[in-house]
Amino acid sequence: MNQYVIRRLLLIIPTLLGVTILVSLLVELLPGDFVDTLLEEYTGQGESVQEFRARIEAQLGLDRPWHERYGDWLWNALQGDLGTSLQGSFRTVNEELQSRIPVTMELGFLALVVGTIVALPVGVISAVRQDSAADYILRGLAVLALAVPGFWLAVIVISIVFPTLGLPALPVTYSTPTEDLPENLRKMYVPAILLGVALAGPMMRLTRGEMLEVLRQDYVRTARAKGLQENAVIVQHAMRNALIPVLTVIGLQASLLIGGSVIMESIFNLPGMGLKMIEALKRRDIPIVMGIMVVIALFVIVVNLVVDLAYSLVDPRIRYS
Amino acid sequence: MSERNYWQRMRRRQLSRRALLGASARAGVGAAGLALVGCGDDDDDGQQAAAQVQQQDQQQQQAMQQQAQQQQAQQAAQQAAQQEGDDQDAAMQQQAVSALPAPGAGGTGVSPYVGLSSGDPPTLDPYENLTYRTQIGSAYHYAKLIREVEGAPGISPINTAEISEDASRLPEVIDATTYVFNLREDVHWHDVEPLNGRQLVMDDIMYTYDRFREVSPNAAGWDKVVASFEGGEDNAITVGLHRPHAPFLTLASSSQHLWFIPPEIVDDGTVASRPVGAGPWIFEEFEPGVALRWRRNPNWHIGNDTGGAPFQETITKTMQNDPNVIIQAIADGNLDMSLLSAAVYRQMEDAIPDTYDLDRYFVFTPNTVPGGFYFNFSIPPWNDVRMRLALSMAMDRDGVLSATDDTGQGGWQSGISQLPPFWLDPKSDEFGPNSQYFHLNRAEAQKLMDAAGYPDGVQALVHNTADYGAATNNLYAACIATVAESGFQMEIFSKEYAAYIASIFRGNFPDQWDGESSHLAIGPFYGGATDPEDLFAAVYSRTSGRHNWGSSSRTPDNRDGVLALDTGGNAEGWSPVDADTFGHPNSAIGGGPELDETLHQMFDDQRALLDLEERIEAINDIQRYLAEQMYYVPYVATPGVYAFNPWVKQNDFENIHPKTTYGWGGAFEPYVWMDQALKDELT
Repeated sequence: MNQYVIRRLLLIIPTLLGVTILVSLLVELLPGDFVDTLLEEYTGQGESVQEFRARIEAQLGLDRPWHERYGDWLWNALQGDLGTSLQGSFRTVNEELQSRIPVTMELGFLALVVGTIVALPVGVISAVRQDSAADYILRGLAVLALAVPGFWLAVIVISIVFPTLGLPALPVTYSTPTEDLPENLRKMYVPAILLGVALAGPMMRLTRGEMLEVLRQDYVRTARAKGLQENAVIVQHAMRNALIPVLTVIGLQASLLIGGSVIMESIFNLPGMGLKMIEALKRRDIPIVMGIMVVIALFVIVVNLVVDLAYSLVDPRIRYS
Repeated sequence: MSERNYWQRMRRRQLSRRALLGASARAGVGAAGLALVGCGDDDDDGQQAAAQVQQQDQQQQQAMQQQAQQQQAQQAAQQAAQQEGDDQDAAMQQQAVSALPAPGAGGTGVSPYVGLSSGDPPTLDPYENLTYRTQIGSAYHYAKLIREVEGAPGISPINTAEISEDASRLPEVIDATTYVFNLREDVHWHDVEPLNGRQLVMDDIMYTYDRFREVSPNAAGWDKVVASFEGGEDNAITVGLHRPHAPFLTLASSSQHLWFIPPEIVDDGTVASRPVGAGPWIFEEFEPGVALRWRRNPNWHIGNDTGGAPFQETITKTMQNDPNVIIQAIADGNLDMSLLSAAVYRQMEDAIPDTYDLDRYFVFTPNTVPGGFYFNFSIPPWNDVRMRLALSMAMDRDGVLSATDDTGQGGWQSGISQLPPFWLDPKSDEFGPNSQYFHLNRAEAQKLMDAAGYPDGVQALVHNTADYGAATNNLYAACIATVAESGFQMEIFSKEYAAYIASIFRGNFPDQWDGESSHLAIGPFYGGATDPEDLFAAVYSRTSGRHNWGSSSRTPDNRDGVLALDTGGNAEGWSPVDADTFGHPNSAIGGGPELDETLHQMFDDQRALLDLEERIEAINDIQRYLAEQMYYVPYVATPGVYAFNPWVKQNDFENIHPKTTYGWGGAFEPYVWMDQALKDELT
């Protein structure tokens, strides 16, 4: 087990290296660069675009070939310095990430909790009462959750649900959980629910499918034949086995949450990584993009490792060596 | 809804300006008369003739003399304005003074930083990045020589932006190229570390000036106008210009130039993150993605002259930019005010309580961002002015407005957008015969297309970027829909923002696209202009580095190279550009505004006109001329929409004066306060 974990941890290094090379090259290949994005606000006075470009590129070191810039970035990154935004020196990428990672993680965690709380019971109920009215309604809701775009749902909630129900408007600023937990939750609960509901759709359908399959297994029939109560059959025997693939999906969904958080962070003004990532990509702000991508890659790798390790806890038959 | 806000104030201000101009002119004439009397001679006829010749020879000098009288004229003008029946202003001013809150009793204001365009400034050093997100913040905490202001009692007649003194008194105009600014002695840096409220002195000014010129990308534009900037021991700064430049004081007061930044925060490296200035607001905190926060500067040098401004105790500018969230937050009172857009006006109107007074709630401002269809001029069909005119006459601008502007306050824009007070409404009789090119006239458009050899119209891809938001995209769609009826079959082709700016915005259009013309785009050109000169220099001028119109080397001398560049050897399907006529702007083929000698002469002429009315007339002529060239085909101008909750107050209660330029933080925000009792009652 330990060897397996160490091996997986060591694999992080080439994976991250590959991700950074790929991202850096992809940003390089995109049409337009950082200097181009400055041109709209460039007054055009006193120097030509070529001179302007040359000056800015020299200032920022963008006039060097890609491999040199990447090499420098990597060397500094290995020493814990992810650089500074090309747009301005308000704060370093490290500082930017330090403040933004917790926000995105909190939103993702809350959404995961909401999604799981909704999806697992609903999936189980739907499976146990297969083809009943409840099953049809719940399956319909799951399809709806899958089909409705998060941003649309968010607009409906803000523009129609809140005024109609007379709910208090969401805070216009953000407080961290340590500063003011109730205020933080007031800011977070709507995006977390919306993101969680979107997450719950596929999770619920998978849970239902797996439960239906497991409920037809011999050992479940045996458990029932032994006279166990139905609740015990479902919770202790069926659910535990049905959850293994669901766990995999939860792991994958956790990675996708980063994508979903971009929209929610943008609409609800949450100072997380997603919002910053979009802005940085638009402005071709390579250090910010690289920094965030490293974090996302690391997050995905770690979540997958944790999910893999969790298999052995859920299913004793699984052993890593 | 009654006509209100900006347009009413505009008329009133113009009246005041006229009074001011009248007084200024009288002062100038008086000075000239005195000069003539001083040259007295007994030979009346000879003296008259000599005086006439002398007058002609010294027109420039007289203009200078008029300018030299401005300071005195401003006071005379105020008296004249009152005497000439401008009682309304005076009464309002009096009412305003009595209505001012006690300093610091103005509550705490919360609003989005830049309305629906809010977002993090990447740095707080205005010389490091030109983005509006950085520039706008500077007006809150920094001071400058003179500043943009709203409703200032003294308005220089040679300027468009309303200006007032800041760290300096209003300048003495020595001659057309020499201005002397006298530093105020009561200007202090904020009373926080590391400045601790020390006095702002000449060394600070010279330090910041050197740094501005060394670091700021805007310095090049400044240097084109300003030849020298010298500080004397008598607290006087003498500014010498290369040549007379009518909008110089607008340039000097512009919120994109020359903020005074103390050396201490540059030396300790906090200039990008913790600004300390001498402006109305003391910087408190920037929480990225959340908000910028300031508190009032109790020692603001302008505050003593304005009843203790700034009035609010603290202000919070949020980074929220989602329209739905902003609208609900305003309606609920979580936000006090916001810049919105015409596209969401109806939604905001629906969200506010029925009891609110709409006339008080919304303020509309003219649109100062020029935009429309723009072209590559070297390849057919858009190098033919007839096709551009036809496109313009095929556009149903009122139809576009009805589809995109719920406010009913929008209008048409000329070749300089709606920049006050220079904008000449293409709808107005004053515009003259060229007004026809803006009016929908499909029959005439067809004739022009027939004459240009395109009787069946054209198919075209219209390049743009969708990143300016849904409202702008709707505007594009409406424009394209309306010209389709005249045979301009267009299809939107969107590019991601950076890709668009890197290519189309700089005039690099793809040669063709599946047999369709693709040398056409739609979008805005330039934001933040305070004077038409900004647009002339940046957008139209051949000396601009931007070259929205294409290659930077379009001169007759390197015609072959440009032709090769334009066609790229891949101009299949297009008629070759006539090499002999390329570079002649008024011919049907070749050349854009960069090569238009007539236009550039007009630009040069207006720069030298120090009399505002004369300059306005010259710029009116430019707009008329641009109409017959249609170097770009302007779309419509939807207004800026500001929403103010009833508890937001300004000293001129009935007329809140938002400022449309980047200087909002210093020109408007100090004079606003929150009536907390009213807020408590209403929320």
